[in-house]
Amino acid sequence: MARIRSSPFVRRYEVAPPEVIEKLHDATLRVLERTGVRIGSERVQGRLADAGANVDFDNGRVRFAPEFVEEKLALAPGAFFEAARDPECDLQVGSGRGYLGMDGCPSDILDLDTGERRRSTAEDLHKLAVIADAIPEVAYVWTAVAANDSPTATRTLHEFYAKVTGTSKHMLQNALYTELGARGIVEMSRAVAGGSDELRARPIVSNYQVCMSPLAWEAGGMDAMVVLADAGIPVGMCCKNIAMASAPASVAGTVVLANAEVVSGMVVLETLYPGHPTYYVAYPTSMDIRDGSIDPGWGPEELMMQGACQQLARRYGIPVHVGLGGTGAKTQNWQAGLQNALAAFLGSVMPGDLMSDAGSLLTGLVYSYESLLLDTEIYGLLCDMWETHDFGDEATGLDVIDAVGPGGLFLGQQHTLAHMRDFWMPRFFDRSTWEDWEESGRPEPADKAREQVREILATHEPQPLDADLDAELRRILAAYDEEATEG
Amino acid sequence: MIRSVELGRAIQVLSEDELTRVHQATLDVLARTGVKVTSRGVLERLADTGARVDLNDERARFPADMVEAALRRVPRDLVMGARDPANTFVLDGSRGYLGVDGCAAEVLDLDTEEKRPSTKADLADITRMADGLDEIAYVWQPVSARDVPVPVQPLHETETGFRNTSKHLMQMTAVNSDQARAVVEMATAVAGNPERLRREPVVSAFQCSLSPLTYEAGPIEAALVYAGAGVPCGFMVMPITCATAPASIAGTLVVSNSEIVAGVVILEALAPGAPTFYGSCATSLDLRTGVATCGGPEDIYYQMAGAQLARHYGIRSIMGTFASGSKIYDWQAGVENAFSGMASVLSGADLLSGTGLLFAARMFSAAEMVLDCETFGLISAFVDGFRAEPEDLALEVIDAVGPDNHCMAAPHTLAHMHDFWKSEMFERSPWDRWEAEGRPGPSDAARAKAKRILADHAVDPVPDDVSRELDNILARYTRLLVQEGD
Repeated sequence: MARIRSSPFVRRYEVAPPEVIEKLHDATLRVLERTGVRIGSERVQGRLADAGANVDFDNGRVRFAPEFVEEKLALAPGAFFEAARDPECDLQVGSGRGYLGMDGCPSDILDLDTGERRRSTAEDLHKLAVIADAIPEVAYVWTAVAANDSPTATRTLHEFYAKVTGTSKHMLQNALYTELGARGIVEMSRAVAGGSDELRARPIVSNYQVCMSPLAWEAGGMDAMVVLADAGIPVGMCCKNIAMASAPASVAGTVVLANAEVVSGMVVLETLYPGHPTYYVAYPTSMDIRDGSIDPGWGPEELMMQGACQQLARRYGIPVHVGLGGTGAKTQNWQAGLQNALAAFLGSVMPGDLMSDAGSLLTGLVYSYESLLLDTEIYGLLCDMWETHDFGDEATGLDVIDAVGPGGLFLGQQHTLAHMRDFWMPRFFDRSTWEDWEESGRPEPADKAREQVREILATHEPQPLDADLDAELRRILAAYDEEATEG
Repeated sequence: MIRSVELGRAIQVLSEDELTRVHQATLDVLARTGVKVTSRGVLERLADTGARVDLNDERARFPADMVEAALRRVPRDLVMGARDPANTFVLDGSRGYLGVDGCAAEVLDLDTEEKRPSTKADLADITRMADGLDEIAYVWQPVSARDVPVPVQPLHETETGFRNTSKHLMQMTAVNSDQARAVVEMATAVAGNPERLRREPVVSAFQCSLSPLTYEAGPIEAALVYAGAGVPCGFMVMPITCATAPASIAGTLVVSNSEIVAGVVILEALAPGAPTFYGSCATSLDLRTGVATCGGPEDIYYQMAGAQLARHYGIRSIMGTFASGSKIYDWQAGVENAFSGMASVLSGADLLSGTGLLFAARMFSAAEMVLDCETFGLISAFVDGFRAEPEDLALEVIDAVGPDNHCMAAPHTLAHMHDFWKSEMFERSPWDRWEAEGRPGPSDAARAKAKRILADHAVDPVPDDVSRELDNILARYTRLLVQEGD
């Protein structure tokens, strides 16, 4: 079986007509020209001023002329390559197939044994990497949870180590916002890839940077971006806007703000590193300030906002990432299923080159081993549905229809025997008899998922690291721990 | 009030070529294999209208031009009348409407969450709750009245329907001409006269094929009774891949399309211009457990392809929508119903069914009905889309707020925060409170809402004279149809 299951591209839906997308784009240009963004890093500010951006060094505000934005956006490539330790798991991003990742980076996880919410550890992250390594639906491995038991300053390096020892798939090093962290990640990645040129040719990690909404890029993230881009590592640009909180109380306003943030990040990257691979990530959501309750997760506005951002990225010809999950539910209940399936369905007809959110609950604040598997059931079902179906004569079966005739049965027919294994089989949907279900104590889909998690952890053996490489990675970790302590 | 959903940018799941192949294969099946019709009277009339009929074999075969001519006779728009004219709606392909499904033989008890056989009282309760839910535009017989004599069950169900909702009724259980006549009489009583029934039919119906490719005498004769009274009668098919249909998506679509089109051809040949619609609940067989899947990728594909074929023919459609295979309102039900809800709406199905059903359509749950309405509301708000006028683009707000700030106190936020959709069922309390309250979920909110509607919602009663007439019709048909011992 193939180690990775990519999804077919079915561009069949748009949430807004092209003229509305143009309006959103024009409004974005006006925001970037008039309001601008704050960029924390003085080093980056200087390089932007040299390139012709309007920089106010007193408050870090950078404004971009529309022509400048258009010119820099056009430099971003339409496709790029993300390598994996196991070349069978290499990803061609922007090639017309989509790849699912996980979610990240919650600090909490639901304990596999007790079901209780607790702080996540490096061991959790390692186990999640092993599970992701084993299941084909997950194509690349995120820092799915925080390694809270590692030193704060070098946490991202401990997270890298926890993952690389659990998977040979491509790794997304999300949650990386310091220059020191970025240097460490580059050094460790070079060790794994076999050198600087080797890493540039086969980037086994990627990253995305997150805008501090509204309209602020912090110094740490910008400095990290520079280090990563220098090493040839793809850097996506991400925004997490919350309508009514950090963004206006309208779908259009929130999308404009989201787009201004993502585009500003890309303009910075492409100004400093022309042609550097990047991708578009937007997680717009809304906060219900009417009754002070928490973010409900996917509602109609979230679906519209994600769809509009996807269309903007497509307009720019830049690979796009879409979220397929991240329910607001606290457990794997009706709401979790509904919200993630709504988002995933939309994502399947407005496809992303990269996709995320497998495994999280409570809008990405809590991770769950069971949800990781359940979310892949949703994804796998949609992949099956949208693959091209055979409408040829043999598959259609006019002869068998005639042979069976009115009132007959297809069950024993040769045509049925030949094709009956073509169909999707659920792993977690329940189709047992009522009596069996009652006798088993009304098991839930999450119960079946938990069993499978345990089985994978007991049996799956990820491709091991060479002993010398392992020692080298540990040496780098120790050196950075020491540097951080001294600092 | 009735809510509906915009059917704007329909997804084409079949390519032009695939659609042509399905249509062409359908014409081949109808001409070569044909359908079995077990009514001698109908077969004889079909022979007079261009079909090739084999009376011994009870088989009717339809030449392609007869099929195409029949498809052209179907009215494009359908009026779905209601006892309360405010609840009347028109199907013209621009908006979609949600209905309560049927006809389950069991209910999931709202209090105990145990499964039990359904009764006429359950039917009355569920119908009244459906009347109180704005998302529901039309009502089937959600459960069987299993505590009345079988031959007049459909009549008790129709009478209970009219008494407990002033919305459009869709009759699905009357499957012979006697029963259909009784339904028409009841509907005429409710409408006031035959002319109003014809103009604004307060009831519609559909008949089912017996897959593959069979129409029994009762259903097809009942369809003709409805046609005579101007009551829309659709054809609903439920072929099961690998069992009563071939083991392929293409083959199952051809069987389902052939059966529906055959029903339409028979109706339009014998009653030209009769209002009808295209209904599909095609599903697949889970070979491990031997049950209908009701929620796999094939089911969703069939829904979307069915809606597309109906649109291609210019016939209004009804698609099996919610009706999860799950046994309770859990993660699986959420997943399956999100998929089928999106599939029906985005493919442009005119009528959505399935609301409230669980366990592969064998059991009805009032709480699931409430949850399905929430799903419908969410999807409706999504497809309504968003405006992008200057006030919505909010550039002044973005500029005034600037970096490192928030929009919570902006006048624009206060002015527009109520524009956002609000969930009634999603659980949104802080974690600690959720734990302290025993981890409540959406199903608790749904059960509470269902109980509230059951306790509070009153239906406009049918007028006394209509009520007496319904009793009389029921009594008359009971004498006619029920023998000692039934």
